[in-house]
Parts: sequence; C-alpha cells; structure tokens
Amino acid sequence: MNCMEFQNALPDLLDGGAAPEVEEHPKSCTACAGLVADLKEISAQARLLAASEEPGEHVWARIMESVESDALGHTEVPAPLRALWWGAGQSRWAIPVWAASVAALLLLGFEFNTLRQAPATPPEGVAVVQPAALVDNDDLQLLSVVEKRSPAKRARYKAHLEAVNASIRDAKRSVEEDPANELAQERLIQAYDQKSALYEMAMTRSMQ
Amino acid sequence: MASGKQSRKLAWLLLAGCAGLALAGEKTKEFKYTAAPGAWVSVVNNVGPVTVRYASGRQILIKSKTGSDKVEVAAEQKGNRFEIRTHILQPGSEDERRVEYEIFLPAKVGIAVRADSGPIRVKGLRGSEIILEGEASPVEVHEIEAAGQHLHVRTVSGNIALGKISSAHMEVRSFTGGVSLENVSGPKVQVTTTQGDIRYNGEFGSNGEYSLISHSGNIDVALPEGASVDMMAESVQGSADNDFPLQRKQHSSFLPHKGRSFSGTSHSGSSSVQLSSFSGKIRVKKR
Repeated sequence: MNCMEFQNALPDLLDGGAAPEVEEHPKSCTACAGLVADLKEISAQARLLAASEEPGEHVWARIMESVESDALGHTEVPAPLRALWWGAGQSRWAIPVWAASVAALLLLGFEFNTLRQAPATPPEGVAVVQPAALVDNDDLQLLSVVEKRSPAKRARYKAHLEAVNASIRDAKRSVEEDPANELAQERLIQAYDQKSALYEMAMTRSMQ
Repeated sequence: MASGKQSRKLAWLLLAGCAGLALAGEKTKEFKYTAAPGAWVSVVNNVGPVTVRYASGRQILIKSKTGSDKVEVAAEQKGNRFEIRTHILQPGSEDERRVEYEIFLPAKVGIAVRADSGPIRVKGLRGSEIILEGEASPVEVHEIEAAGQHLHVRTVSGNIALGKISSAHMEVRSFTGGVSLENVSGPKVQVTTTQGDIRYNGEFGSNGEYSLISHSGNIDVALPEGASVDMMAESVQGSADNDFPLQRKQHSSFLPHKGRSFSGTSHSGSSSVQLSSFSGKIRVKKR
C-alpha cells in the first residue's frame, strides 16, 4: 500500500474499521505514522476544549446546517470522517471542537498531500506563539504554507486571520457575557465558519 | 524639406520598433471545444482579468493573451471538463505574469474561475453553474439567468458586485471585501462577510430565503414599497434602523430591542429576509 492509498483509507482507520494492510502501512512509513498521531492528538485536544455548557439542540441543528451548506466547490467530506467530527462533539459544547477540527483537518489534509513530495518538517517559527499577536499556532502554520507559495501573501493573510480571530474573540466574549443570547451564539458560529473558509481558501490557493 | 521627411520616417520606424519590442512577449492563444451537456470549464489565473460571456451554440471559446514569456497558458480536456491554467515559468513583475482570459460559454455549461488578483467579470450566462473565487480580485457578475443553478462567489479582500441575477441559489462570501447586490433574486441567497459592508438594492423576489450577515460591516438595504418580505434584523452590539413600512407580526418568538433589532412583514411576506450583524449597523429604507 502506498501513501496515496493510505490517505484514501484514512477515514476508515480513524473510524476503527480499516483493513489490516491500512493498519500496517504507518508501521513502515514514518510520515503517515506522524499524520495518524497528529490526527489522534487533535481529536484528543479538541475534546479537551469542551466547556461545561451544553448547547440546545437548535444550536446543533444550526451548526450542522452551517457546515452542510458550506459547499463552495462542493467539497464532499467522506462520511466516516464526518462521523468522526460530529461524533467528537455531539455530546458536548462543540463550537470550538468543530472549528479546531475543521481547521486542523483541512491543514493536515494539505500537509498530507505534500508529504509525498517533501519530508514533514515543521515550518520555522511555528512553535512560537506571539502573546500580543492575534494568531495562534495553527494560524502560523497556515501562514508558513502560504508563504512558501508566495512570500508577499503572508502579511495579507495574517491581517485577514487577525480580523477573523478578532471577530471570534468578540463574539465569544458576548456569548460569555450573555450565554442565552442566541444571536451572539449564531455570530460565534458564523465567525468560526468564516475562519474555516479562510483556511480553505488559503490552502486551495497554496496548492495551485 | 527632405531632411524633415527623413526625420519623420525615422521617428515612425523607431516607434514601430518600440511597439514591436513591447509586444514581443505577448502571445495570444485560442482554444475551442464543443460542449456536451454538463460540461465544465475551469480557469486558474494569477494576474490579469478573466472575462466570461454567454455564447450561443455549443462551442466553448477561450482566448488568452500572455504578458510575457515568463508565463504560459496550458489547456487540458479531461472528459467533459476543460481546464485552463496559467503556469508561471520564471519569476517576473506583475505585468510579466499577466494573462488575460476571455471565455465564451454556451448555456448550461458550468464555469469555475480562481484568480489571485485580476478582476473576474461574468455577464449574461444562462443556466450555468458558476463558481468564482478570488483573493484580492474584484468580482462582477451581471445579467444571469441562473435557472435554479448555483452561483458561488468567494473573495478574501476583493469587492463583489452582483446585478440582475434571477433564480440562482447564491452563496457569497468575503472577508474584508464589500458585497453589493442590485436586483438579485433567487430561492436562496446567502451573503456573509467579516468586515466588508453589504448593500442590497432590490425587491427580494418572491418565495426566496435571503440571509445577509456581516460581523462588523454595515448592512444597507433599499427596497421598493411593493416588496413582499418577512424581515428580521438584529445587531448584537451595533444598531438596526428601519425606514421601511413593516407590519408587526401578531405572533412572533422574536423580541425586538429598540435600536438593535426589528422585524415585521410587508404585503404577504413571501420572501424571508434575515439581516444580521455583530457590531455593524443595519439600515433598511424605502427606495
């Protein structure tokens, strides 16, 4: 089994229903083993993000609707992978889980596509978080991917990420101040949705 | 006298030589395909305009003009899909990387355009599925008879202008770019921005579902008195002002807050309109 075939079977592996050869592949491929480890780590971290508050069913319905309608380019999420995302959050307060998973999986999806051409080395400076900056580690990693393709674009995307992150921060504050405010909840969901769309755009452009 | 004539001739020769040098790197290409039903054209460009227009018949015509030898245009047919892509062969200035595309598209042929910074202009298409993505590219889409097809537009910072579009399932998204819609209607129209302003001028058709959402951008709506809408507007931290005659609903779960939200219907309220912002201003007025 090569890396491409493994990539195609990755959702089955994460879903726990993979063929034996799929499970064998990462044992002999350090790049794919790293990818699996990263995905498991993200899944675990995403669960830790869960807060104590449970959203109502209507919030879930809206999140589902929001993601399902986010079909620009008609990107189909494989059913098992979709189950992994939703399964991780359905019993918890899932906005951060969903956003982190979408962003991270998109990022990893791209990273995996590039694994076959280049060794998976973390981009320089990724581990450093600037406390004053409005971007996190994932954002810095995304920016390094953008920069590889076009150095001039890094600053532009950074500014856009900062704007989107500011909108998440503001909406989050508003929800914290008034947890019953459904509109603030909707705006928070929308802000995360925008961030995931920005990630998608940045990486689509970077892959071209 | 003779020397005057010679000087003029020399000047013309020099001018012609300069023009020749300037055009030396320019190359034009034409690609023609016969489109079967369900055909798709995909264009990827970095710098330079992409213009798409309607063409009668079944022939897809794509014209390209490169700005220098540092870029080339590659076309590929994969089944019923036609892919046109700008390849950068060497680093160069923006002018050198510039490629202009002009595409003539028959009815019911889908089009996807992805561009970095050149404007994307689409006009007159009929029954085409349309996907347009630009980073800094401004996008203009006009006179579309969508016949129930999808129109997806997405930019990072480019402004989006949509006009005279009917029967489209629309999803429009920008981050810092503004979105302007003029006489746009469809069964579902969704516009989302982070910082960009949204402006809608029109009557929202009938039996449609419209959703205009911005985080910090302003939302301005101007509609004629005859518009039949069921409208709800709300801003979490900004303001919401209405100057359009809406009748308050007798039964509603929505509790309006003065200056921040309002709701109501006009006529039969056949189209649902949701205007929503976090910190932007929402203004609705009669046209």
